[in-house]
Amino acid sequence: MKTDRLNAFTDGVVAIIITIMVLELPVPKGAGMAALKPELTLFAAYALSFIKVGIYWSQHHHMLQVARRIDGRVLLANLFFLFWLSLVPFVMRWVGEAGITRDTVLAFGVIMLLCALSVAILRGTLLAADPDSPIAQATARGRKGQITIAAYVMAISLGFAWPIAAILIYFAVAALWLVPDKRFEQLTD
Amino acid sequence: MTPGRLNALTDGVVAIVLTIMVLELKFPAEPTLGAVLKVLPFLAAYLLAFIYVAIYWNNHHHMMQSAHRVTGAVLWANHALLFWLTLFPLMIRWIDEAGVTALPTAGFGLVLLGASTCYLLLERALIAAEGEASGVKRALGRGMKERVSFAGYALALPLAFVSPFVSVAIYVAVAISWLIPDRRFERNLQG
Repeated sequence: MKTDRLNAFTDGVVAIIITIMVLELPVPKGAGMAALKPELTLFAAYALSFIKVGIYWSQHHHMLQVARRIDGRVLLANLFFLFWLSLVPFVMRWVGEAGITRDTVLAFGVIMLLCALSVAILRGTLLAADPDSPIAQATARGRKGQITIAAYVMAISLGFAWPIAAILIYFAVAALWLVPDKRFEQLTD
Repeated sequence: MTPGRLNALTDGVVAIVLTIMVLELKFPAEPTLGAVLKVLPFLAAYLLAFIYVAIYWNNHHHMMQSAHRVTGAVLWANHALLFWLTLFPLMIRWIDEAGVTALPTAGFGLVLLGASTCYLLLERALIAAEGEASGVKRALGRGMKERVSFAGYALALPLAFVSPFVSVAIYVAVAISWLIPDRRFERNLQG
């Protein structure tokens, strides 16, 4: 099977995920500068969530650029990935209502960990569908995926005692991925 | 890498941004002329935000017609542009609640400034990916219009604290200048 419709479906779902998050943002109560202050944390949470979804989409985009063949298991793995990604706005809303607490920080980490794991599973199914695919070649070197998963596991464990440490790890992982994955670009040029 | 999926994601996000803004619209509280007049400033804000998002989509559409190759930097510049575009619905909701006052008007300007900065970055990233001899570079030239718009927003933002209506006038003026679609790409594609 070709990748076209899997990509189109993913693009549609991700576009909705990344856009409806803005509906969770409250308008400042009042027109003064002081009214902005209570909203700043949620705004930071929005920016971080936006970046995370952007990262996952870019990663998906890069991987699928070199994918030549997919099968039913790839479709299922992709759905599994979209499921976890679609929970990002949900956690955002929780942060909006409960604030940055231990539990909301942990929930964000769990969703991020499951997104990272499901991307790893998606990569596994893509490789199974096309064993000598360029994806194997592209991801042969570099440990970004494993580092990410390890970082989220660490963030969740640390988050029980120090939520702030978990938040710092979330930002650090985002910074790690802001440098786009050149491995796939080199392959397609 | 080809720009197919970048365009698909952008179209999806922009379509939703344009559509969720309408959720902010409310019926007038009573079926009287007075109540209708009360919601008029907000309707105007909705119209202006809609036009701006449409302008960005049009320009993006035109520019991407000439693009053949995308890089990670292009994807990120595009994500950053989408980030600012998603904030339009929030800004018009704010204007709805607080009226055309200093801070919401400046906020609208900040979103415009952010979007135009990211659009300039997207142009740069595309030119870097396509090369100096590419159609994108030829069509964009020195990008004077983008720079003038950027300066307009940068001027309007602080002016909102002096008089919000001066800022609104600048926003409207810049929008009108972009209603004529970007001919540079059309000319280039035909030529």
